[in-house]
Amino acid sequence: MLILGEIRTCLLRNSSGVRQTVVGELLGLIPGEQVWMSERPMAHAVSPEVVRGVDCPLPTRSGTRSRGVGTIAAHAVISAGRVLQGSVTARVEPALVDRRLSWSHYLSRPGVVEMIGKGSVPDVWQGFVQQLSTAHVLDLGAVSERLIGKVQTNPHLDHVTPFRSARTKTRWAALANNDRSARSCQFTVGSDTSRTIALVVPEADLPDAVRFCEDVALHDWVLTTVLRIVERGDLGSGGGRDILARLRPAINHLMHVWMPGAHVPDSMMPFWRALERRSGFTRQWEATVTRIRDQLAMRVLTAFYDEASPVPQR
Amino acid sequence: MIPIDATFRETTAETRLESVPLAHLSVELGHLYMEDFAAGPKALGAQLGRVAQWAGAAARIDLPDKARVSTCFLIDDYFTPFATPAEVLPMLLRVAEDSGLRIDYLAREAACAYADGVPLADLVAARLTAVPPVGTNGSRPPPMDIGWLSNGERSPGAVQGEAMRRTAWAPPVEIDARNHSVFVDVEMWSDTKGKRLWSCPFLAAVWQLLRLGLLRDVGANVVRPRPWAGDFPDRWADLPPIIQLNPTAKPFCAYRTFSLLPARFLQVENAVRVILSQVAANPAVLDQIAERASREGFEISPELIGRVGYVFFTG
Repeated sequence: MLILGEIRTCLLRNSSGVRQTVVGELLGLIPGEQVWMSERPMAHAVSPEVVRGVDCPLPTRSGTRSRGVGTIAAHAVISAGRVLQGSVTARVEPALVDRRLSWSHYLSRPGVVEMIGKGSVPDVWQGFVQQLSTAHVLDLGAVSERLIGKVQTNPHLDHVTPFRSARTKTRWAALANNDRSARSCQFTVGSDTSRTIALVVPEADLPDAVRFCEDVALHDWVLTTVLRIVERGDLGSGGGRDILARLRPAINHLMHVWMPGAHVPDSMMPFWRALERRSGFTRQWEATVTRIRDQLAMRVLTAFYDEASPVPQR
Repeated sequence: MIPIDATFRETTAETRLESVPLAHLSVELGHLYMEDFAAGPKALGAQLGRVAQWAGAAARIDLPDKARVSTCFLIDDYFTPFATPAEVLPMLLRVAEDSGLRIDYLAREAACAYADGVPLADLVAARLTAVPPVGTNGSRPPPMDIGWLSNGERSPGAVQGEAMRRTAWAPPVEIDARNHSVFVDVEMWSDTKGKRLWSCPFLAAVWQLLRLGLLRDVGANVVRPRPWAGDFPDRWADLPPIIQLNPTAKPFCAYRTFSLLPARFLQVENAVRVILSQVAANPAVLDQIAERASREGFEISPELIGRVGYVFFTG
């Protein structure tokens, strides 16, 4: 068994962080369905699952033809009232018969795409992660984009973006393997905005992989965005006021969002720790935050002494 | 050192999902329209007499020995509100009793659109997941919401209109057709002057989902039959959405439904099946009901339309 997923992560188009009551409105994608809201340790809200039908080729590494029929599930996530994610998944299972069944059969298994043809599950896992796409292949990213578009155009938002940031695309696939020594997690930073995560997890933990990948995508986006702000801030130059203006978005909107693993199931925490060891997410984050704080402290002190007595020239 | 196991809960982050009392089978004894009432007690008696014969069989087939079976009756007060409850209901109940039928629950069709402040039809419309034609990979948005739902792909000529007439015509196609298509296109609603009028098949699909115990509003049950004592009022809206007439009736909702209807309802119910086969019910509710059925050792189809049975009779 296998889960394929695509996550788009971006800044919510609002001049300030959005309160939880408004978040509830933004994520009420299906009337009569509950929005999951959690306040601690960081505000986190998940929309109900929107289901869409597909019948299209699945990517395979070997090039073997494989057809996927069923439904994909999509939900939106808002973290700290500030960061929006569109997360779309397809749980891929081999079909029991070699043809498409009646549609009501697929709707009785929401979120499952049945694989018809000779392709194997590991073959699709590799094909998806390596983006070996042929024409008309399963496109979870497009569904994710539309979901984000729907939330971003909601009239409850003021549609003002307080600073520039890029939308990241995280493509991920988790393959079930009950041999615990086979567990692995490979995180790849592609271009500026594209990321992939390839996971091998015990079958029972497969559903938990969704939340884990969303958490990795969230923190990767926060780190990437703060790095860009620091880069643009050109900390070595300019006066205190300029620097402060350049760094303000990071301080006002992003620094409190860092909380790796806060909403990740226990079963996936070893993966976070393993990823931290390799990618040094938190080390880089702490170094960057320290740099920002040092800059600010230095500017404050400089301003203080400048005012008290001019610094002697050497 | 013994590790301490700490628990932290936030109730807003938990799923609330009320469960509903369930019978094995919900038998629909009829669906009353103005014309049925206008035809008089004699014609209604002849119809309910036939229903009574089938109802006995329906309550036995594929059910355990001590099966919980409830009966219900639907009255149209949505499309053409006719007469008054005070005029219609005593007559209906008398004719039913004379035919040997016991009506446990009486429901108003308008309640399938809106009941106790909950827009039931809207909840169902939001859960429609259209059957995907071959090649649907997610890159295009689902077909525009135009109030129609089909069991296949429409003829391109029919969609594009006058300007595109010169493109080659192609027939509509039923998805999953066996050799040849039986293409069905169902109007689910129409909007006039900002007001939405739900179609009869759409409300009938909501009616089936209600009876199957599959609808929830933010996890809460939406089916609350209420007893009624005394005279019936002069306005349909003064009646509860579902009235419990028999105090000892088995639950209104059931694992399976069965409807005994005159053959003229065949078209409508075919449309109901087209709609039901494209409703993605809440997975948690589906699981809850499947789990309860299996605990009772009662087998139900995982597919919604596999839980809905009919007899259509003529005459």
